Amino acid sequence: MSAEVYVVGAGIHPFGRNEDVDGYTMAERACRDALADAGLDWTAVGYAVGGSNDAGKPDNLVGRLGLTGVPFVNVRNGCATGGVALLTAANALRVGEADTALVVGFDKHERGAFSRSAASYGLADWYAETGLMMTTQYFAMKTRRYLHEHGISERSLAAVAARAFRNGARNPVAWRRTELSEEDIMAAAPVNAPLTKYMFCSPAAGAVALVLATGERAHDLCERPVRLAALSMRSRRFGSFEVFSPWLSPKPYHSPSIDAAAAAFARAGVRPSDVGVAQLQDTDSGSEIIHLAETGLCAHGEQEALLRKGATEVDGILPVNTDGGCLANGEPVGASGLRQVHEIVRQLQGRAPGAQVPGAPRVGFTHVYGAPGISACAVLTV
Amino acid sequence: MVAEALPEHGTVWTWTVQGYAPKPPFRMPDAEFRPYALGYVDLGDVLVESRLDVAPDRLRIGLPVRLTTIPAYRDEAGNDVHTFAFIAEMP
Repeated sequence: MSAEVYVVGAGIHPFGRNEDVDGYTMAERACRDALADAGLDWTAVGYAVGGSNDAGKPDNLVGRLGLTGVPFVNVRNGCATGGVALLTAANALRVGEADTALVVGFDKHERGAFSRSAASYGLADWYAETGLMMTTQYFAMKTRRYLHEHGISERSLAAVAARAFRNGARNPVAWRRTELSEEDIMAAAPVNAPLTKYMFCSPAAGAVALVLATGERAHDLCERPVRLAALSMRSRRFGSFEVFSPWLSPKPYHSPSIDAAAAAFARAGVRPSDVGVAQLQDTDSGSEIIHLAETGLCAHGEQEALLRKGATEVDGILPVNTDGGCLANGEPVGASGLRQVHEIVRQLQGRAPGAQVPGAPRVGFTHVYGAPGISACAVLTV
Repeated sequence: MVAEALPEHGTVWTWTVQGYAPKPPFRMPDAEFRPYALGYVDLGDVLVESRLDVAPDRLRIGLPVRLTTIPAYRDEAGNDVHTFAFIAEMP
């Protein structure tokens, strides 16, 4: 019987451009805030895992936090970095490596859409040179096909973004904190039709840290620890529609999100309908709509009705991205997955930084998805 | 590995318009960026990603298209480098 692992402390450095602060400084602040939140000294931390894609090697943080000799694992797993860092730390605690762990994710990126070399994805130069290698194209094309097959209007894309900015406006640590109407969102510059500028998240900077503890230790440290009921991570299988694909199978409807979510729900022993607050990867509005169904939170094609009746609002039956998601927070890749977990932890503890879900939700869910076809999910409970 | 000839005719499976100039290594055919269409073309056994030389107001899922080539960029020696693309079956 392996130990139960809980989140007992949470810290966040506000997300945004954060021009004047480097990745390590943001990460250090998030770590210190999380440790203070848990009432734990860094010298007492028995295991550490950190993730960053572009802002440096996470284990360098020991130079700032203290040279205690703690084991410190670095994770670099694209958009799933946060999820995988959390999984790595929780598993170390489960097998008895330590009874407390610190998990940190941070990042800082250049402005504008992510640009990747063709070779880093095993592709020839022509693919990028002829203009086919942009992540935004992929999201737009997957979204267009999905809306077409499931009879969902393009206006739903604006509804998702409007809700994200509405939630972001209430969240003091979000980046974009100005509400926008659906009309403004639809009339904005078309980045990749049908997706406009405000339907995409932007690369950004930020940091998040969480303190984990096992069993009794967790209850000693924290009045309301949040249990990591299940964590999962999956890579793609044949037949999934992924970014940077010069060709696809004729029915590209599988996704690592489907596998990762199903595994997390099965292990946690809860149903998607039990979820009281959820975080879904919303790199763009279409992704959130697709992920709602891929994770099992609703049926394919049901999304537009849910959006229209306010089901995914903070006070709806299925609150989604209550902190504004990637759309309002931007996506510092290494920090983004842990931002989701931070928000769910605070919601389940009844102390959300922004809008609090009413009715004391008991089950939370997080989902990240990224290139080249990876997904990580978590089920959290109180 | 065996080369397999694909059909030259298919239908648009999904599409978008690239509305902003990609960063390098994208190479522009002209000094000034012009938005261009791209998509996946359903060729039966496979969906192939391709530039689409079709006016955006004509683009729709299911549009019949056929293979062609278009200028992609001009290389350092001044040669026009072409790439594959699909155009509408009906002009």
